[in-house]
Amino acid sequence: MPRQSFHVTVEKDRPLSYIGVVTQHRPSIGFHLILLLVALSSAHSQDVSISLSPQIDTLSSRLLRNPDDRALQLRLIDAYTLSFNPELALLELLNAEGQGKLIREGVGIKGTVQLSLEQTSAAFSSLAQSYLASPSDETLFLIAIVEYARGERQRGYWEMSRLKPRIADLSVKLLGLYERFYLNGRRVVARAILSALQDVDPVAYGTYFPAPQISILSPNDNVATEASQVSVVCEVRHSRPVQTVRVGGTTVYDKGEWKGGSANEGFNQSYTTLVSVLEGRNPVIVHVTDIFGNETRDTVIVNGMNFNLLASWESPLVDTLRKGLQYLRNYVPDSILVTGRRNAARALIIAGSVSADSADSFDRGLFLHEFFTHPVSGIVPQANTKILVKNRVEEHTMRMVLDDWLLKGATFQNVTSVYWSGDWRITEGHWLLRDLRGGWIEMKVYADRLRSLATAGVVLMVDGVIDNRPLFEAELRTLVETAAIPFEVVILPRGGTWPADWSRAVMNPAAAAGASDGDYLTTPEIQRWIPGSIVIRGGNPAIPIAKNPAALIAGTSRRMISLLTQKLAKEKIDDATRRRVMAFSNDWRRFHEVARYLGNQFSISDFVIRVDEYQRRAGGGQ
Amino acid sequence: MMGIARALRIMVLLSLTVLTIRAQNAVYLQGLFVGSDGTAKKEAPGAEEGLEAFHNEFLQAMGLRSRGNTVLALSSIAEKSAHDRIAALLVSTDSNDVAVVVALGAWEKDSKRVELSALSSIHPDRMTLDYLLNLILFLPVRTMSVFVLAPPRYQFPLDMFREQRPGIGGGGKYLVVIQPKGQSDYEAAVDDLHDLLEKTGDGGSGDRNKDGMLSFTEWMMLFERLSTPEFTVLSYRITESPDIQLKQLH
Repeated sequence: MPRQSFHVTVEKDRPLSYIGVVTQHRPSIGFHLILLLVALSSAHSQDVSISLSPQIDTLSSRLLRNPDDRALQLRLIDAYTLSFNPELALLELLNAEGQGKLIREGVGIKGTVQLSLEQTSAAFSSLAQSYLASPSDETLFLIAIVEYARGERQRGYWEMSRLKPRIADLSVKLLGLYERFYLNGRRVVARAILSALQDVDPVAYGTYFPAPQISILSPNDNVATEASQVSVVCEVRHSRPVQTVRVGGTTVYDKGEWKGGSANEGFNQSYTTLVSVLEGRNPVIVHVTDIFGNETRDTVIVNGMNFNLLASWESPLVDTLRKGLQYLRNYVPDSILVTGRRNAARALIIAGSVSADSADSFDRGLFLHEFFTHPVSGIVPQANTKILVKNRVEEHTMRMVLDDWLLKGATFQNVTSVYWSGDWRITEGHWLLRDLRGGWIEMKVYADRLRSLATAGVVLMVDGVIDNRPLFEAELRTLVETAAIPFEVVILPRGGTWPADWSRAVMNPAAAAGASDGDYLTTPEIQRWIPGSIVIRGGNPAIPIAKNPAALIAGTSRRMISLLTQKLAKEKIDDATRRRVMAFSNDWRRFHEVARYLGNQFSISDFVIRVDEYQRRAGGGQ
Repeated sequence: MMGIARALRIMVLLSLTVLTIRAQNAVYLQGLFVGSDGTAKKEAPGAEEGLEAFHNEFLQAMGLRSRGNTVLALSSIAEKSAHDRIAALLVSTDSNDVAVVVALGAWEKDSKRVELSALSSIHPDRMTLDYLLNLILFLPVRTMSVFVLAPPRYQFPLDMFREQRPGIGGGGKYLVVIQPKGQSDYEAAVDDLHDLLEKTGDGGSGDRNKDGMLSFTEWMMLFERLSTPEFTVLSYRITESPDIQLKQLH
């Protein structure tokens, strides 16, 4: 196949020099278009007006004088095409065809004009016909671009790969042609040329058309947050115009329809976008595309830990617990019951599925959560509690909470209470807890690491079906003995009846009256209340993990009785009356009456009248 | 010209198996091209007439119609360019047409640029390999076969198609290269071809369906079965499209 070779001398009037070359050599249309890149770099800036350019004007006037001059008409069509006035070129072409002037050249010119107008199907037909009638690499080059523009990338690549060794400066030609189409707002063809360049010369493509750059400044990757929304701060930099910026599915920038413009318009913007965080793993994708279709995406993972107890999370155990605590509040004011620091502890409850009694496991998890966080019984604020039950007992969520919350959140100020329940598989050095999907998660590593991180103290309660209790106990014992921090372990008995024992112990002040329990709940008390439970602890003072309302009320009651005894001794009343008053006041539920007497709100006679009234009503107040 | 005449006879025989597309309307054949063996007109008296006769016989045998554009293009013999007439086809071709192209003749190999190897010709418009491939790609029909029959010493350069998918896989556009290794093999193979094709007819044991219908793929597979150690038939599937049914007339 003959190859054409031309040398263009760029003179002062570059368009004219081009026309001169056309006249001398009459190259193919494809070559004209490419040659234009060299000769007519400034042609695009010409405004469309009555006078397009001196060259076109001259050609037009000459054609008017010689309407039958076929060569002149061809040159005028060329001039229109090359100055990117394809509409005028097409009109002139149709005029020439109507007069039957153009035969062989016409179809090629038409194809080029149609390509300029982005009429890709029509351009393909015309250019293919032109090629088959007069094969040339220049026409094939344009056909290949049309193939790309039609979405036939494989076929376009096929042509381009054959042309590559035959056209030495193929990349330069593509770049030049691209600039021309780009500057004139021919988006489809401009992108097609870029695709071709990407295939033909990826290095040149990467150099001239770099991908947009994204920097996600905040948050850090794999961050864990309890917030329901997080601010994603990102910076987008690019040396070319950016089309869209999307952050987490939200379009934060859209250039709108592109109608051409400067290709060197840089872009440098920062965006702050609020992105909703759901529970679990939230990949936030920042996606930037430029007007050439180059795209970059970056992802930041935000782990949502914003668990909320759903209203449907009710359990009979929690119901009973709440009623019991409310019962206490009926007789003892909150000024006594709801006291103490509530931000000095945190709790993690993982109640995994237990094959036989999964419902119980769920109930026990909720029971403990309620107990730890209830204002009367707990010392853990809601925000310091994590509970994983049912579908949340899943490896990813568990690891996220264990790594990002339990370990990272451990401080020297907060006592950590941990409840791990489920199916356990214990072997030497491995404590595996089954997750929702049947996978086994190694928990020992977390207990080990907790020993060095939670310096304020840890109480670990394990529950559920343990396949090797003796080994587990031995391993836990070793763990406690080697711990440098206060570390206590409770192994709860199998069967799941312990919440009843727990409730009885902490909600019956009458039963607690004889005991010497402190106001706060500690593990030795758990061992005492719950038959079959094993408590392992070192020599450190017992760690308070919750309040003990019964003991608190009983203690308060004891102190009041003591004060009452002292005060009654000073009153001028007979012994029988004193005994009656003491018998009345020995019940913890007489808190208000006794307190009012001790606070001098009642006189002794008022108090005695109340006692007598109570005694007259048999069983009153019971 | 004996070689050409004999090969043309094969093509006529082949055509008897193709026949017509099952369709309500008339079926048109597009682009029956025959290349040259490089023999100048003055050295091959009667060749042009012989080819024209073949062209007419082909159309008649297949029961196809021509839109007036079926081309008898002999670039070495005809004074005018084959390119012009081939290009005119694009305007009249419908995607449902069947195109059959026969490139018959010697190939001049370009060792530097294989794709620029061309069918030997005295006309300056050369039918290069690149052109042939683009013709296959550009002709807007879904079903097309390009048969290349080259004499033993001037074989078709296959290098360019080495990476193409070989074999018959269904409807689409195919390049079928029939290459004998020696002149005697060529003659023998022609006879074998003849026998094979005859056997696939009514009296033969070919795998034609009971209703006399053949799919385009089945038809193409017949050509593949011609392959012998001395007579290689290679097929390359260039593009894919749904298979169509052809019908035997005789």
